[in-house]
Parts: sequence; structure tokens; C-alpha cells
Amino acid sequence: MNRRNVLTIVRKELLETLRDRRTLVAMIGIPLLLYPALFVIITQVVTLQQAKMERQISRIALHETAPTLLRQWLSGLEQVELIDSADPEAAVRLGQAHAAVTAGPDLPASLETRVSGEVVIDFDGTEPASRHAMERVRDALEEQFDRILEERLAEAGLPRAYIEPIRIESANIATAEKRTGSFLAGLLPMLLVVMVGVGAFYPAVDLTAGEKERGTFETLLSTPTSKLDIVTGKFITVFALAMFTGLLNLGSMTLSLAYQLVQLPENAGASIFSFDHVSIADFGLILLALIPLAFFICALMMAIAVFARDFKEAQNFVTPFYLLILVPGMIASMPGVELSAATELIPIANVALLFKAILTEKASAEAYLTVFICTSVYALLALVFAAWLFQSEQVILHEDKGFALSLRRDDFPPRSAPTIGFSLGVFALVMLILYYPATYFQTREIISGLFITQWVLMAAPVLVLLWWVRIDLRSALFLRAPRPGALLAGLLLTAGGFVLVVQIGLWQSWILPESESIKRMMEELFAAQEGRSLLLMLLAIAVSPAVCEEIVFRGAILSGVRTKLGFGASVLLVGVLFGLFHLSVYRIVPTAAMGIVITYAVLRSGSIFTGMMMHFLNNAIGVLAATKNLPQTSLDWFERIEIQGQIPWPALAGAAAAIAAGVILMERLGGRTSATGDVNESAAGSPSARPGP
Amino acid sequence: MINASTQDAGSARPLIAARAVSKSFSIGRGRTIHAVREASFEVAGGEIFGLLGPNGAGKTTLLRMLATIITPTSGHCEMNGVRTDVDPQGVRRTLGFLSGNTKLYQRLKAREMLAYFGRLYGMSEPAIANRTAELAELLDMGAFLDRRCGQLSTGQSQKVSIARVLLHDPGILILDEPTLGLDIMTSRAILGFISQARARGRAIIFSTHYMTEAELLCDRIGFIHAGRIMAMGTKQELYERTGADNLVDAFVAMAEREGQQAA
Repeated sequence: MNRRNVLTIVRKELLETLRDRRTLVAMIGIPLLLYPALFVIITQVVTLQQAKMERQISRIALHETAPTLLRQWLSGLEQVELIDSADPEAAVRLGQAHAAVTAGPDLPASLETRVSGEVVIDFDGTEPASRHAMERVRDALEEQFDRILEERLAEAGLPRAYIEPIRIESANIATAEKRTGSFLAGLLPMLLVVMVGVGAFYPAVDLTAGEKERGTFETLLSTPTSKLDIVTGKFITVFALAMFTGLLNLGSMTLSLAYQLVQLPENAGASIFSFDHVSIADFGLILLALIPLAFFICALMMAIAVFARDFKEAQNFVTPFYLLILVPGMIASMPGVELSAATELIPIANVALLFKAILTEKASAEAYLTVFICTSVYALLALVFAAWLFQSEQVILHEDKGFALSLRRDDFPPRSAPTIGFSLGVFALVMLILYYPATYFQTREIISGLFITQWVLMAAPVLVLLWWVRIDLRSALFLRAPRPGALLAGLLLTAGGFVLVVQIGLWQSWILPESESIKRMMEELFAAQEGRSLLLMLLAIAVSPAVCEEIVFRGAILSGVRTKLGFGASVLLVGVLFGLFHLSVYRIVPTAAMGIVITYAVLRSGSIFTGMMMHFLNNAIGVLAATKNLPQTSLDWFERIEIQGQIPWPALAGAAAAIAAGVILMERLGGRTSATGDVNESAAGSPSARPGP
Repeated sequence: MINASTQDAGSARPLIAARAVSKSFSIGRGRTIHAVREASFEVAGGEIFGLLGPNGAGKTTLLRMLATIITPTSGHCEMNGVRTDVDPQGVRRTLGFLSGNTKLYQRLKAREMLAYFGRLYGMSEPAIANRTAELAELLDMGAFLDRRCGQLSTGQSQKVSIARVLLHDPGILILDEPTLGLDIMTSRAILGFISQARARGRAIIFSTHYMTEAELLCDRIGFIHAGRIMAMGTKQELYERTGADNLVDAFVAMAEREGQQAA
């Protein structure tokens, strides 16, 4: 890196940004004026509201037959007007009166006989005027209550203490620091995230997409400055501006709040919110942790903005991200959410929670360090990501006008494989389907639900989509007969893979014990199916997934992924996606492992039928074992290893050998390797038409 | 910095060379565009090479590869004998690149913008000041040197851009449509600078789709069509090969011949 070049870029970007009136207003003008204005308006509104309330006449409805005593009690009150009504409660409901007071006709009598009389106040809690009227009446009645109580005590010659056997007082011993802290703690984390985001937003967009839009990026790239210098210089500028805006906002808010509190009569607020109690050191710690946070937000915003072609598009890209980072900030502001081993790792939320912990004196040095390091690592990753994007000439010079967004079938050129974007879209769609409608159908009735999920909700839409965008199904889905040797290799891989996957599950249960409820659920599932025919079970749990999930994963997704990624990366990615697809923490790793094995076999053999066979066998063994339809000796074996939590080493070695044999066989067959290897396509053939390594 | 004076202009070694350079872009949906196919040519010091072709022919992509903005998919470029993929930083010091449709930093003054680029080229502050004064006089920019770029007219902006290209006195000039959208007077002035630079031994490659401009200025011309350099030579050679008496007819004849071969 060339420090001189970086500095030159920072100086120029700062100068240019600070000369922009829009930026100056957003960065300096708004924070300086907003907070004082906000506080002034709030206090004015509250004061006005109070004054209005105090001037307002409360109309109190009394029943025509209300005792004279009650009328006497209420008649002397200021700002109260008594009205007679046949139905006082209805009068309140209809808005004719603010509150209604009803006493039983025996009120005077019960006072005479020294028992309790009853008075009911009807009011409408949603109406401030009604609540206010109720309070006025209640105050008046409580005054009478006290007066009568004193009279009765005097009559009986008893002291006041007689009716107060215990005097209960609760004293708030929270330190002023803590009280101030908890007030700030609810507000500050969220605000800091918002402000850093505001500060980073405009520069991040202007320095990347803005420069692209002006066409000056290309000129800059032709100078003897490395892309790393450029991205570093731009990043430093964005970061400095974000920190500056964050601090300015924070300063302005603190100052105007403090000033407002001083203005309050009797220092009512000052005793609660006094800022002397949050130490300078606390603010220092907060500022220190703010650095990696701002770093992280700036780097991500720049990375997102550089994708856009122009300023406007960049704003459209960055705004959703901005809203997204507010969510963890908001969650952290909620009472009860605190730092824990898990939340220390969540980006943005962890810093917000750390601020909260510092302000309420709960932060430990260890937690501080964890959050700081974690956020620094995230920030670094984000910066590496942004720098990597800057290296890509496609991203930097991306200026084609884009393609007219037409969804008509005729507008799609015929192709042999979908794009990787399409494939990832298919994955997202399948996940959504699985999450919503599939869950609905499966909870209604499991077996029919599984059929509907596999055939109607997954396979059918994906096939229709592929057909619609004119992708050659034969090549994209690898619909080619496998060689017999490939099937044999598939058998070996399934056998070995099955054993290894069971073992992986067992190892996983050391770290991640399978939850009892899931285990019970599975047992119940199979127990409930006891009456069903085995054939139906096999169709639902082995055949359908083998066909439908293979079409989706080893067909639509794999062929698209393969157009952009190499052999190994494709196998890995599709395997992992397959693991994620099973929507269960416990099954991700084992199913991903099996997914990798099957993906490898399909890609190497060039035939999806290899995968369908393997998938079927794998699931079928599972069904047969769970329904106890396997020979007793093997069932005993399964039970034994479950108790031991470990497959005997000779069996594992055998499984490894089977896999090795399967791989060797596959590799030697070779030949039909790639997605579109032997399909001759039109000129619009995809880059996937390259042989596998 | 390599000045023309330090290079033996006119000698056998070309200052610009493209060796079977190709570039293809993946444009999504699995499609690929072959923007440039196997382009090869050389430009010596004191020579102007004109790249002629319609919009979308691949002129800009080819020039971007020469200017190290993008890397070729295959083949390579050499600037003054140095391969652009081996030492892009070193190559950039020796060349001035004017991209098509380039704009300026709207909120910087013309002088500040020139200084910014001067620093990035590693020039000292006095050198930047001297050179700026020199170019301001040469390009008649004195009146607007201290105005913000956002307030300049199209012609004034292009002059600032040209000054930016010439600032570090590069031995190689790569100019993408330098006269596009300019009025006649400014166009003529800019074409004047290009021929002056030739007289000082610079190697110049520039693209245009104004045939008359090329006719007037270029020592050699390359016709580029659909990413391929169809023909290359002096005006006279091109006329003789096509039987035409102007570049427009020559280009059309070549394009038709190419189309017949392809069919």
C-alpha cells in the first residue's frame, strides 16, 4: 500500500464531500438543530396539553336520585360542573359527561351506622379528559374519606396508628449512576447505530456508485494507484465521516437533553438523569467499541453500494441494509435482552448490548473483549469483502444498461443450464415453500403432506420454472442413463456414506445432544404409521424424495451452480444447501455430508439417476430400520451402536474402503463428466459446457 | 516517468503492442459476449493509430485493456515493451488514458483536480504547479482554471480532461472518442493537440466513429467490427484493397466482405 496515495485520496474525497451542501446539511446541520428543536417541541406540547387539561371543565353526571350528601361533596369543586342524568353511565358513554358518580341510596345511612358506603366512578380510560375528571372526583372523595376517618377515630378515642399497624416504605437504592444508565441504556445503543449508519450512508454511496456514475472511476484506475490504495482511501473517508456524524449526533443530543433538564423546575429530571454519574471512562469505553462497529457498517455499506450502477440504484440497495441493521439495535434496546455467550456473537446487536451493559454497570472485561474482538473480525471480513469487490472489473465497470425485464417465455434464450442466480433463487423458493405451505400440509396429515410437498410444491414448480425460462431439461437435469459401472460405484458410495453419516450424527451428539422432543416426535411419527403399509411409507419417505429432491438439488440447483463454480466447490455448495434444506440444526451436518456424496456421484457420472438410486437406498434403509423391517441382527446392531455412541472401528474402516472404492470406480469411468458435456447447444451455449477437471 | 525524449521514437520497438488480445464477458443467463477477438497491432512513437468502428464494435474494451483497466481473457498487451499484466503499475506511469464520456469531479476546481491526479502520478507539488501553468496556456484554460468543474461547459470540461491526460507528460496516449459531442472549434483544437503530441514522438491510439477525423489525422487505421480487427493499414492501403476513395466506403466494403465470409 502506498501511504501517499491513500492520503491524497482521503484528502480529495473529504474536500469533495464537505463541499456538498446536501451532505453538510445532513451531517452537521440536522444533528445540531434537530435535537434542541425536538426537545423544545416536546416540552411545549406537554406544557400546553397540561394547561389545557387544567382549564378544562369536567362534567360529572349524577343520577337524579343521588343522595344530597354526594352532591354536597362534589358541588364545591373547581372546574367541575354537575349534571343530572337518568342514566349517568350512558351519559359518559355518549360523551355527554366526562365521568359519572353513583352512590347507593343507603350512603347516608351507612355513614350514620358506621359501616362502609359505596361510591362508583364511571369513566372512559381512553379519553384523557375523562381520566382527568375521574382523578378530580377521586381526589375529592378521598378528602371526604380522610375527614370521616378522622371523625370516627376521634369518636372511638383511637390514635391514627391504630389503623396503621405497619408503616411500609420502599426505598430505591439504585445508585444514581445506575438510574441514569438504565435510562440511557434503553436509548443510546439504538441511537448510536442509527447515527453511524446515517453518517456512513451518503459518503458510502457517493464515493463508490457516485464515482461510477460520473465515469471518473475509470480515469482513477488508469493512474499508477493500486485498487487497494483506492479502496483504503475511500474507506477511511467514509469511516471518518461516519464516526464524525455519530459523535456529533451524540454530542448534540446529550447537550440539548442536559440543557433541557436544567430548565426543568425543581431539577425534577436532573436528579434522575444527572450525567455526572456516567463516568468519562464509560463514555471512553463506548467510543472505543464504536470504532469497530462503525468500521463494520461502513465496509458493508461500501460493498453494497459498489454493486450499483449509479447513485440512485445504490441508494435503493443500501436503504434495505440500513433498515436491517436497525433491527439488532432495536432488539438490544428492549428491556430484558442482555449480553450472553450467544448474543456476544451477533453482529451489531452485540455492540448495542455491550453499550447497555456498560451503562448499567454490568459489563465484564471479558464480555467487552469478546464483543470488541468479534466485531473487529466482522469488520475485517466486511472490509476484505469490499476490497475484493473493488478488484472485480465486472463490478467496478458494471455499466451495461441491464436487460429489459421481460418474463415472457419467448424472451428467454434457450439454454442448456440455468444461471447460478436462478439456481440460488430456486433454493430460496424451495426453502420458503418448505417453511410455509409444506408445514401446513404435513401437520394436517403426515403421509399425504409429504406427497404434496415433494411432488406438488417442490418438483412441479421447479420443473415449470425451468421449462418457462427455456432451459433444456435433458441437460440441466442430467437426464442420461448412467453406465452400469456408475451405478455400482453409487452403491458403494451409499453403503459407505450411510455408515459414515450415522457416525457423524453420533459424533455430533457429543457436542449437540439431540433434543428429546425431536426424538420423541420421530418415534411417534413412526408409531402412528404402524397400521400403514410399508409400501406407502417407502413411497412417501424414500421414493418421492429420491425423485423430487434430486430434481431440485442435483438437477436445477447443481447445473446452475456448476456454470460458475468449479467441480469441488459445486459439490460442496450443493451438499451444504441440501443440509440446510432439512431445516433442523441436528440434521444439517449429517445430511450435508450425504448431500456431498450424492452430488459428487451425480456430477461425476453425469446422470441424475445415480443420485436418485443412492437417495432412495439411503432413505429406504432408514425407513426399514425405523419400522423394524430389517433382519433382527442388523436391528440389534443399530441399537448397540446407538447405546455405545460409536460405530466399531472395523465397520468404519469398511465404510471408508467402500467410499474409496466407489470414488476410484467413478473416477476411472470418467467420460461423461460435466453438466452439458456432450450436448451440442446453439451459439448461446453456456460456459458450463466445459469438461470437469 | 518515461518521456518521449527518453524513448527512441521511430525505432523498431513499438511503444504500444497488442498481441492476439481477446476479451469476453459473461452477461448472465449463461451467455457470453466476445467483445474483442484476437486483436493484434503495433503503434510506434510519432505515430497515430486510429481505431474505427461503429458503436459496440469493441473499441472501448480494446482501449481499456491497453490502459490496464481490465485484463484480457487471452493474449496480452505491451506498453514500451512492458507487459500490462506483469507490471500494470509501471505501465500506468507511462500512459495517459482518456476514457470515453469521462466527466470530472464536479465539486473540485479544475486546478485542484489536476493537482489530485498529479499527486497520484507521484509528481512533486512544484512540478504540478509548473505543468498546470504550461498546459493552461497551451489549452487556453486560464479563464476557468479556478472554477469548479461542475460549472464548466462541455468543451471546457474536455480541455480539463485533456490536460489531465497530458499532465505527467506520458509517452503513450490512449484516447477513447476524444471529440465526441464537442463543437467544431473545440474538436479542432483537440485534434491539433493530438498531432502536436505526434510531432513530439508520442505513440497515440485513438478511437472514433467520425471517419473524416480519422482520414485527416491518422497515420494508420484499423477497422474494428464485431470485436474483430477486419483490416489495418494506411489510408492508401485501405483504399487500394477495397477500391474505395474514402474511409466510409472502404469500411462498408470491408464489413460486407466480412459478412460474406462468415456466411
